[in-house]
Parts: sequence; structure tokens; C-alpha cells
Amino acid sequence: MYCSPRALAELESFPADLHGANWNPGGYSMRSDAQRFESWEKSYAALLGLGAAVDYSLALGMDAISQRIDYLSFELRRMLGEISGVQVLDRGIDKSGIVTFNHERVDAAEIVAGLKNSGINVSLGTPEYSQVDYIAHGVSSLVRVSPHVYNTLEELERCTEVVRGLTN
Amino acid sequence: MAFDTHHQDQSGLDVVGLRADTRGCTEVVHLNNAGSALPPSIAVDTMVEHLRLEEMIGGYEAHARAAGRIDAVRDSIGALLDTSGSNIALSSSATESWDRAFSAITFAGEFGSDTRVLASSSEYASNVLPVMQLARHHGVQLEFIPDDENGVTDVAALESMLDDDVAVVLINHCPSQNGLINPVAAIGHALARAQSHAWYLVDAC
Repeated sequence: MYCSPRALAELESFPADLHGANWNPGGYSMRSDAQRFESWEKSYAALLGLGAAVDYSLALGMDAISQRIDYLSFELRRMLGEISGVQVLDRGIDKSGIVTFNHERVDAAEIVAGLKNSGINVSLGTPEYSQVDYIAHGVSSLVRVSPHVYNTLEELERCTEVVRGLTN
Repeated sequence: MAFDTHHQDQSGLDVVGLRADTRGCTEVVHLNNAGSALPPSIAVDTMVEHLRLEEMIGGYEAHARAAGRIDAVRDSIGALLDTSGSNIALSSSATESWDRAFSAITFAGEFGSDTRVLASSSEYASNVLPVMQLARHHGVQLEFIPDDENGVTDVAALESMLDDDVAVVLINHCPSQNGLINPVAAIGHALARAQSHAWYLVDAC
């Protein structure tokens, strides 16, 4: 978590623990840096793994990562959009690496399950994750497909073909 | 006119090498990376190695041996976000981090019936639910910022909603359910322009 200078000047963590604050003879004092929002007990193994993953990303370069994900998600939206009855739901001019769609007839849950049976992992989106947005756009469920740098065009094509089969 | 570069991969990344770095690529077609990508082997090996060290010499002792590397994690995340490691707090999850920030904000202010909290229309359940709790039990007003004609958070609408009662503005950067990128920088500038004292809480997960 990034904490702004204002947050560090004005906010105490609550409830504080002995990592974020110090119990001294006269009372207590907060740490001056963002570690005031941390607690002492945590999975250090997981954090070291996170650090390794961040260093791996920095070595690849965020611009390169962003370009590859843009490329793959653009292609995926195009391919899925060509399937009869599929509606790609993504909005905005600048889009993220998240691709969402549903089908006019076949339930999103059925598509997710069918992809899973073909060895393809995607997620099912339902309104309880974000009621206001789903209601405003009349969406009852959706399939979320989110490519990463290591995905290939062949994998996107395979995914698209399975969706085409499931909705035929 | 902007040249559309989407039709070609210009990243220069070695995809064969990336797949070799990521053992799960041989097992599944993983197109479920938002929130949980297949981890690169280096991340998993680092975690397992530390667990083995805890197993063999004890948790406090393993922590002491890794202390410098744990501090370096904050510096690495600082480099990723173009800030200093001293501005980074580590936690076990995005929701835990968000909760730490939100509980600090509600602890600092008096949240009652004249407190307004503004949230993007795409905001996540886990971020809206604590505000709904404050609304039910303390009368806090939760209001959603409309989207603009492109379907993203409407910065001008947000500006028109601001007043001294607005205590927090909640925005999620890349909502899980609609593929858009919210204009988080423009919103930050708008809050600064309006000299708003509201806390700006961005969920970038």
C-alpha cells in the first residue's frame, strides 16, 4: 500500500500494534513511515515471494508488460466480438487487460464451466461484486478473461474456439 | 492522429522465456490473471526457501536472517510505483491494506449523518460494504459518482459533488467487471484543484 505524505502526517493506524507504534513509559508514539500501517505478525515467506515477483516485473519493464497485455486484450476483444451472440462489455477509451463478455442466450456460468473443462481458466462475474455497475448496465452475469504477458495468440484462439463451440 | 499500435506486439518481451520462467504454463491455459496470475518460479522458490528456513532454524531466526531482504521488498514496490520504500506498507492482501487505510481514516474523523462518502459506480463490494455499515449505524451518506459518456468515472460530475462534508472519495483503478481504466490521476488533480480535504482512497487491485 502506498501512503501519501499527508497520510503519514495526519493518520494513525487503528488499531495499532507494536510494529506500527511504540509503547513507551509516557504513552505511545506512531512510527514515522508507512510501516505504521503494518502489523508484526505476517507471512514473511509470502512477502519475500511478492518481492521476488516485483523484481521480476521491474526487470521486464512495466512499459513492455503494459504493451504486451494491451496487445493481447485488444486481440481477444476482437476475436470474441466476432462470435455470433457475444457482447463484449468493456467500456472506456483506455481499456485495461480485463476483457468481459456475455452471450445473448448461453449463461456466463455455463461458458466458464465449459472453458474449465477444456483446461482454460477464466472467472465468472456476478452482481454481488459490484451491484451499482451491474444494475446500471443491465448485466446479470459475465465472463472475465484476463490475459498476461506469458499468454500466446494461440491460447487466445483456443479460448475463442471453445466459446464458439459452447454458444453454437 | 495516434497510430494504433495494438495490432502488433511491440513489447520486445521474450514470450518463450517468460513461459519457461512460469512452470504453470505447461499445465493450463491461464486466462484468469487479474488478481492471481501464475507465479513465476522465482517467486514460488523464494517463498518455499523461506518456509524451509523457518522449518529448520525457527521463525524469529529466519526473519532475522531475511530482515534486509524484507526491507528491500518495500524499496522494490517503491521503485514500481515511483516512490520511496518509506511510503510503502506491506500487508497480506489488497483488502487488508484497504481496510487498514479506511479504519485509520474513520478513526481520525467523526463520521456521522453530515459525512458524505463518494464512490465510483464501479466500486467493489468489499470497499462499499464498510461504508454501508457506517451508513446503517452512523447515518453516513454513501453516494455514487456517475460515469461519463465513455463509461468511466465522470471527473466533472465528481467536482460538482464536492463540498466540505465529503470525507472520503473511493475509486477503483481497473474495475474487475468492465475492462475500463478510471482516470485516477485526473481525479486526484480535481480534488487538489477544489482544495478538498477528502481522503482519496484508490483501489488499484
